[in-house]
Amino acid sequence: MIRTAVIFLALLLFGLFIQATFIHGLFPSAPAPDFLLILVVMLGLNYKSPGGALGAFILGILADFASARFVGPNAAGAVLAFYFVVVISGHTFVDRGAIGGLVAFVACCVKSISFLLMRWIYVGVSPAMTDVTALLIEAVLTGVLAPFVLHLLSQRTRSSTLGRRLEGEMYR
Amino acid sequence: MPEILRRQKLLLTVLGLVLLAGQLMSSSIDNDKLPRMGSVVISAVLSPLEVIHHELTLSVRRVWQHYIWLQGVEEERNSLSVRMKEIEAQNSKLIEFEEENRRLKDLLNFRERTSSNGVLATIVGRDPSNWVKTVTINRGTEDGLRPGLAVVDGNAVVGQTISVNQYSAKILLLSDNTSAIDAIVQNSRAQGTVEGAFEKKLFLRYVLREYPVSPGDRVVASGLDGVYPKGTLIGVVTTVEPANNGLFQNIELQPSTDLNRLETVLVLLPGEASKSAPQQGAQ
Repeated sequence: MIRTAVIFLALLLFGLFIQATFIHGLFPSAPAPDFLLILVVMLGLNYKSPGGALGAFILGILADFASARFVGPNAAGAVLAFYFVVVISGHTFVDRGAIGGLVAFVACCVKSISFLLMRWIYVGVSPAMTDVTALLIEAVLTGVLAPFVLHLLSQRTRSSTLGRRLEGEMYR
Repeated sequence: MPEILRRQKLLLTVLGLVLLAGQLMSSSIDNDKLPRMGSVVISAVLSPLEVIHHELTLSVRRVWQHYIWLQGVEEERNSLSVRMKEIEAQNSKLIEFEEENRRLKDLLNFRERTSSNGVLATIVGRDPSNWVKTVTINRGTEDGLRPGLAVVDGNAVVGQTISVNQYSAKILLLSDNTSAIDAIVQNSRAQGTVEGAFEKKLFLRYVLREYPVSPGDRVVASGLDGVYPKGTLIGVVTTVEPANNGLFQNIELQPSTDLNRLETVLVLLPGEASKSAPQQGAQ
């Protein structure tokens, strides 16, 4: 279990690294797609358990720590996005392709709205029109990127022993 | 009851985690030790990777610009002499050096103008979230940095350090929604607070209606916040809307530096922030 947790944490840190360097390097002056949110969608699709929710929470907390500003808004957003994916995947066939992109789009909106609401409630910064524009751009880009990343991750997860190990631990 | 709990285990976990996140948010606003400590731990892991990535990117770019690209030119233009190719390569390098030289000279000029002691730093990473505007630099406590130091580029305010570990630091950019700088309009001397907005604009808040402010006016740091040197340029007024019933005007600014394309910055070291930058303001 400890080994799995360490490997999972390493994967999350790798995701943070990718988001902070490559993804932001590709989109220097515009909202970038949320790679971490796609990992949350993957968790929601594959690990529909309290362990999966905890994974999403840890991912959000790491993103909050990386920002060095507030702890909580990304974590709450990631958990809510995770729950949305779990609920929606119970009613619709969501695996990959356009539906996966659409789910990632809505999940990204859920996460961002949650972030903006928490910032509004706790810090007093009310959401502006520019926030809405940025939210939509981010969600669209995430929705476009999601099918490719989900496809890649699903292949990797199925073929690797780590995937089987993670799966086993998460379902326990 | 236990059956309901078992069936709704996931929902209850989610609710519990959201409440926990809210509690953490509340705690982190009252006391910023938690985000800082977390940031130090994350930076200790990520910063070396970010520095390696930055160096690798630079190397690949150099190889591409100075070798592969020029080889392509060589193939396309066989008639050109070897000497010409060498000159082109040198010219390409010189242009890059010139650009770098210009940036460093700007920073050096700023240091001379303000008589302040600063540390040059390179941006090695950006915030993973789109909603917080922070960047990571390759300097830390080893170079004398600590939280709350002003960060400038050659011409203007960039932001301030918020979290510092041994070899890296986080800078909160002035474009972040939670950033606020005490400022004055250079012409009218109207005082206000510059707050971040999303992307490429800032707001100047709390400027009374009776003070004349017009598009094109320059807004500089007042120095009253004890972080930014007085007179350091923040931005230029783009739009002014007199509030219909309120006390204050609605003023939008364009930041004087492109915060999305920063490469090198100057972190002003402690004890120097209160000194003024009159030449900067008078330009």
